[in-house]
Amino acid sequence: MNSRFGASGGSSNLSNVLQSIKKVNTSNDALRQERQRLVYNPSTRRFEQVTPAARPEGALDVTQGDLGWGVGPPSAPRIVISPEQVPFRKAPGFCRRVRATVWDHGDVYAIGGYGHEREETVSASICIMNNAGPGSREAVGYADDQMRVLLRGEECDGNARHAEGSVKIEGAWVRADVQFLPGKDALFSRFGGIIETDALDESRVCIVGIGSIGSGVTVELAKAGVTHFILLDDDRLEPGNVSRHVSPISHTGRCKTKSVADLLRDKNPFIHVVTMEMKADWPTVDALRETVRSSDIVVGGLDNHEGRMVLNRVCLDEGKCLLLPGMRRRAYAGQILVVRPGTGPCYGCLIAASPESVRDQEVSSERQARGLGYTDKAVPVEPGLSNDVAPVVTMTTKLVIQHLLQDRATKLRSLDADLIAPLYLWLNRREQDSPFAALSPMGYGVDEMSVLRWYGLPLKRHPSCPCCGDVAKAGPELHTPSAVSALTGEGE
Amino acid sequence: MSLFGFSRVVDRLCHEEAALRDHLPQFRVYDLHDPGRAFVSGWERSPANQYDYQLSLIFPSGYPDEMPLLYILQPRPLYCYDGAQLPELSHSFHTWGSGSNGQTQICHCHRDEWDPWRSCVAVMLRSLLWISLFERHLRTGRTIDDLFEEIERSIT
Repeated sequence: MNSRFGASGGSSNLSNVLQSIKKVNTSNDALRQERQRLVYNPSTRRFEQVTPAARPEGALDVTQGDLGWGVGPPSAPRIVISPEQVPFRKAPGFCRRVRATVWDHGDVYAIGGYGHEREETVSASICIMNNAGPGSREAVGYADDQMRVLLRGEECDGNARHAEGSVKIEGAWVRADVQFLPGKDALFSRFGGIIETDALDESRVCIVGIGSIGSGVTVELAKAGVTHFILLDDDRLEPGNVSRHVSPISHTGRCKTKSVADLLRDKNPFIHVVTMEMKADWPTVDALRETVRSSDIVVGGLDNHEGRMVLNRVCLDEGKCLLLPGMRRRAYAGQILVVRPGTGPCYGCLIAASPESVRDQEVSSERQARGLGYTDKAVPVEPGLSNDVAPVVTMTTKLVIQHLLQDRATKLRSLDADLIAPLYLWLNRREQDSPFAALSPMGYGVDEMSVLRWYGLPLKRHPSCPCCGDVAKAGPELHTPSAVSALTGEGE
Repeated sequence: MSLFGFSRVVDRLCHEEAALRDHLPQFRVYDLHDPGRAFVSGWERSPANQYDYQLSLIFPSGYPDEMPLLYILQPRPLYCYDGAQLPELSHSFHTWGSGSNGQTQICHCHRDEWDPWRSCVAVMLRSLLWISLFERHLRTGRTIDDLFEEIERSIT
């Protein structure tokens, strides 16, 4: 209810008001008839249906929002327009032909920004009208339009006050509310006070592996304001992925990179996404190197050890920070390795320090299982739950943001002292046959190690690591020569 | 490969050559100052003396981060207990494809389990073990995987 409705004054004619509203709301005739408006006439102190030409002096419009008060939901469709679709600085008479995505059986018509061919689309026009004169939605646009937006003013400013929308329903034009999506700056204005709204604007994040972790991190970073992404994966979305992946089942069969790119554009139409449908592998290492070189940070949400080895090598060579998040079997635990080239340990150091943590990995898809086994011996698929993966997604996102904001004064600076560890461990449960099976239950304790908490682990850089250390100094650790005779001297 | 990367790999190959000389002198690293061409090669006469085997370990461009490939150059092809040619890709026989000239490629390590800490001595040791078990297969018909598991049980 707005102030105009409040201007009706006095309860004596309240029943008349409700009768008028009900009549409009149930029949929709007034809305369907061109130029018919419901107004409050202060002279007669009555609500009247009038044409613009017969509009009484000082009349107050009754809007769709007013009709929503106590007499059912508003029935007018809504037109949502992305800023980039608004024809700024065009002269009156200009008409832009567009396609509008129809959502929810005609409840919402979206122009640009989102839609992406998932739903029905219709022909539409956005036309500039002169301020003078009432204009006519019939006089502009194209013959096959199902939706039109008239923007008034010599220079359209993207303000909904100057827009008039209409939708053709069963051959008749029906008035529609118009809503403009916010501009780039306004989109993340709620972050004000935590980080600058454009703080992450120029950061470029490379996500290698768009599985349940990689896709989740990507969307979270987009929600935080990162606008430049490179998504790299050659996998396609399978029905079995959907329970943990950010993409919906309607995207089954699509490349994960392209599916997630569309989801990002839904979050932020100003986002820049480059997708690369290829596997992080030794044969693709040169292309991967180029990609990493142009990025500020790399997230390796990979389900295979070999891919992590490749990324580790490339990021060490290019001096780029690398995060390697991963889940252990059936997601009983998750871990994140932070590779800071030149200053911290790398994936090779982790292999030396904790080989079991590298081998104990979740097998979450048929494809991953095929990669782990021979063709004549299958490996079972044993994925964990999505909510078990979520903490790793959240923490990885946090680490990426912290890295990207490292030289900026933000409210997040205090986290620098907290997030110094090169390796983070999260325990979802006390899994049998795991090193954590004998932990005490969490209960109310805070002093002992328990499940459902993050732990920063002090992994050291190995001086003779074959990846980041000095090989000549110490050399790789070898199997003992005595093993030779034990295994080959069988006396046959 | 950067200069640092080149030097790092050459250092590694020199170390491997020294370790092979100490532990498995029948093998040596060739072209060790040229990482793009370097390889390990040597001959092994099996304990049961069925054949003389020429083995070769090929270093890929990503070595040591990338797994080297282990081939039996001679004899080729290899035949099983039942006279059939040794399958190219088999869990039971730990084979992983074949070379361009029909050489048997031994699966000394799954690609997704290779780590750069693994030395050439460890890899060539695996090749000797494979030969030993292959020859036992020729006498008994038992698969290499079956025999391998038996050894694992005996030493654990």
